[in-house]
Amino acid sequence: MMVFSLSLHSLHAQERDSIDVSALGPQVGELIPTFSLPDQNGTMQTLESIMGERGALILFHRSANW
Amino acid sequence: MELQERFEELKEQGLGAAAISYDSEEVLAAFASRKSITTLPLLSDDDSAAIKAFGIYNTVAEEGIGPNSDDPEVKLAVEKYVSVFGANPMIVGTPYPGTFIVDREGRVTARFFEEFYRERNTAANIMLKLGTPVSPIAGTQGETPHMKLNAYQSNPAITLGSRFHLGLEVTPAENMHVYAPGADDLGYRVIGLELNGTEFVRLLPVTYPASEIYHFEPLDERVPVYQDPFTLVQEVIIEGSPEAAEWLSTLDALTLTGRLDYQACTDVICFDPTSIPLTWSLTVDQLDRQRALAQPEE
Repeated sequence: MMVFSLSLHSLHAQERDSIDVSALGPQVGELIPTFSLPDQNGTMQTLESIMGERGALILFHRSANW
Repeated sequence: MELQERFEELKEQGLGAAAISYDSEEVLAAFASRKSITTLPLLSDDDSAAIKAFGIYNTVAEEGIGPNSDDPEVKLAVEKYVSVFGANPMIVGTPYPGTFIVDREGRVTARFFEEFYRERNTAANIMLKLGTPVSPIAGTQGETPHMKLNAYQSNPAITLGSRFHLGLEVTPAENMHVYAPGADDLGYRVIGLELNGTEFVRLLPVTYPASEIYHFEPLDERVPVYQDPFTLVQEVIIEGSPEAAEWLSTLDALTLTGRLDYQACTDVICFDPTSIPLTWSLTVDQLDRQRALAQPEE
């Protein structure tokens, strides 16, 4: 039983692929999801409200708190 | 926050901008006030719903505190995607950090994600890659009999994990040309920017702009050259490893050195190959460890 669980574990370890972050989320040519989120002043913002004449840059960051 | 500093420039180029994180409005308000972020919208996705909808929710953060947390493979993944200090419930809910550029319709035109969570493009570096002019950081100027040089940098200050660039603007003197990639096949010395290696500083291949073909009639040769002003770009990544962090923590400034090698010619004469020493001085920003809000008492 012990041997069984160990081999399962190592199988799991071998099969773990590294994450290709470039493959996650919308790719070039695809539409991004809509969103409606409050900003630091409590104003609701959407893609439309942040949009410039040519487009927009959307940065996802981990945290402003740590 | 560098994106705030570039916000107006982006707007002038027709790009709006926003930064999204899982922080609460309260945290973002405190951060914005401390960092004087007045125009860049910092958006609060405090239930990570948008992060999930975008498909960039960091699942490893959750895995790192889950039932498989002792799995060596999970630990390795945590180090790469979550934290070099190990898993922490605080990190659950965050995205893989990165940037999307979209057009007016919301269609992605470019995206910038790095594999190691600590490494990321500076806003100025992204702008360069988008072909958006960046107001250059005053560089060091120089002149040789063959050209004028201006060495600049995308960012005045760098920090752990910064992916930025160094640029060298070259203006050949009148009637002078230097050789572009491809000219080496014909035995000419291609202009080369060579940085000296520094531990924890990763250098990407130098980017050359498009060249033009010069017809050297006496030999009926067609050679790729630069005759008009052009820029060589060296992308640089300050590594994010714990060792790199320790090294960087001792520095206020970082000097990168290198040289420019070239051979310049006119229609009638080729000058001796020349080597010019180059130096870039960058300020080192230590990572900001201050919290936007005091942590609640446990």
